[in-house]
Amino acid sequence: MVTVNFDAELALVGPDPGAASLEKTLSIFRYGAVRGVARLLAAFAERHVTTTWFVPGALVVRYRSLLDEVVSAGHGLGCRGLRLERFDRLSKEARLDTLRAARAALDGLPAPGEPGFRLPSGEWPRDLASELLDEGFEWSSSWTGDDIPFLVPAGDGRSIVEVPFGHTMNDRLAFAWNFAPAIPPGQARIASYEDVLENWRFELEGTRREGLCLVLQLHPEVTGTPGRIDLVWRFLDAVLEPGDAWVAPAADVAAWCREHPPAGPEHPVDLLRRISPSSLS
Amino acid sequence: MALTGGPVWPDGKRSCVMLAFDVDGPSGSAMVDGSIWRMPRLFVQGAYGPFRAVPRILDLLERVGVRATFFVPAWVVEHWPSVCRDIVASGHEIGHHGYKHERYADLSVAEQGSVLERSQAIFEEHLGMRALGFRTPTGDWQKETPRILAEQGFLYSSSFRDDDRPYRRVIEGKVSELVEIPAPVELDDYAYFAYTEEPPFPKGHDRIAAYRVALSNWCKEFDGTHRDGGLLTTTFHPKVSASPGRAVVLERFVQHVVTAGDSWLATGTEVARWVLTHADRFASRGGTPGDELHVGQQ
Ligand SMILES: [Zn+2]
Repeated sequence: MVTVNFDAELALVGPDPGAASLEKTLSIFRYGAVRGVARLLAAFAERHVTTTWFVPGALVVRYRSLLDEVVSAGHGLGCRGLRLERFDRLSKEARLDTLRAARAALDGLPAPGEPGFRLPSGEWPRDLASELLDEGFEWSSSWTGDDIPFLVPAGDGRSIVEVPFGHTMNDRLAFAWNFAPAIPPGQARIASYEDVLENWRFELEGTRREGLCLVLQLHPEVTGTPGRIDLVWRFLDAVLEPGDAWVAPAADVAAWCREHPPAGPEHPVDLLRRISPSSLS
Repeated sequence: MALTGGPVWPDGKRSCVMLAFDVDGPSGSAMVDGSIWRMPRLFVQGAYGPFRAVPRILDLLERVGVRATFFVPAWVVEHWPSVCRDIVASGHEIGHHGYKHERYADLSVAEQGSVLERSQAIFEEHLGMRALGFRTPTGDWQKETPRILAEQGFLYSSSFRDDDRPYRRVIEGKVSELVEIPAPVELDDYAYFAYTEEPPFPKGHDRIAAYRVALSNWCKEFDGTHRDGGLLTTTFHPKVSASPGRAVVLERFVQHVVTAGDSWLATGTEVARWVLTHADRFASRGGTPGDELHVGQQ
């Protein structure tokens, strides 16, 4: 499953509105809209891959024509709040208002499939699964901790389908860099492109060996550069070449999982709900 | 003992490898202070260890025919008893690693004793055994800890960094029956792969290392240990180094060790018993900084 987080300038301004004056730094993120999106769309089109794009609702107006290109190419959509809010720092009412407004913004785009949700950052509030269902989101891709989709309980026998990812498969963690403000906080060196591609191929090999679900997270300003788009091409080639991988948008994966719920021992997300101190419920 | 001394290991084996995994799961400082209960994503990321990664590792070890040592906090045993029984039933060893992965340096002598006793009771209840091995959770212990371990019948600790051979620990001036099996950070997967969003790990959110580089480093440390006739043990955390892709790397490392042919792949208890029955081949050492070093054979 290939996903794109199209955060654009909100990656900086969402969590820190005071950063709106940092025009040079903002231009790092604007690069995705100016160049990166087109490169990613071309790579996906050449290889006939349908992907899922997570978009903060507040960007829909600003980048309407770009997003029209995304959905008209058949890619699905997911919600990333209105402005990449930290949901664990919002009241229940604010979370519901944010989800409703973001949903309304996404519904303005004629995307195929049901839109899902990806938590921008921070922790998962205890009631978020039921709030998402109430606002019409049936699936999420926000957690780590598994190699296949699982169900996050929402109470009253309801659940939301979660399609989890691993941190290795995230281009931002490998490559994003800025001088001031410092990104990443310890200003680690930009990783070796070839080594990151090889890490991705290791995970692909392990995923194929056991028949699991691999989720790649791309960011247009990160892998949409002239040099790094090559990693996307070559990784997609590695995925597609054997001809045995189902490359699908998240809505389709979630729907399949809903019809074929995972069997096996109690999932940690259920264990957690069972053993959490009752003072928290 | 010279750097490449005479025969040290059984059956003329040239070196010793104690493959070891720390199955922390979601335990650790966030569980000790209770904050984990408000961090469901962090909990599930940690639970990946006993839930998904340990079964994958057991399959791997069976394929290559190697036995290993698993250090498991008793809280993890309580919540994943059948996975832990599978570890024992597959011929591997389970050792002590705290109840909730407490930092021994933060515990009083009485608290250390009660964490050990409580954990041993849980091991007996769920696994029908008591731990003979100990690995410090989260860093340091206190100077009383080795005495408490010896009194409670532990055979060995695998916690320190100060040698590439096992040694007998000197406790309060006397050579004890407690063996130390030092574990180098170079074979700790946290130094390469561990990553959490919040709280951030590594602190500056450094990059995840190249799998190829980690594998190469691990193989080089084995090659050198094998050349010098020492012991190498690992601090691999299933939740960290047994994702589908990293398990491929792990398997290549174990294959590299097995392919050497004449390295003794042993569990912690096997190593400790060997050291105690061949005491003349191993050094003794212990005490806190400022104490005299007590060195047996050099
Ligand atoms: Zn540990």
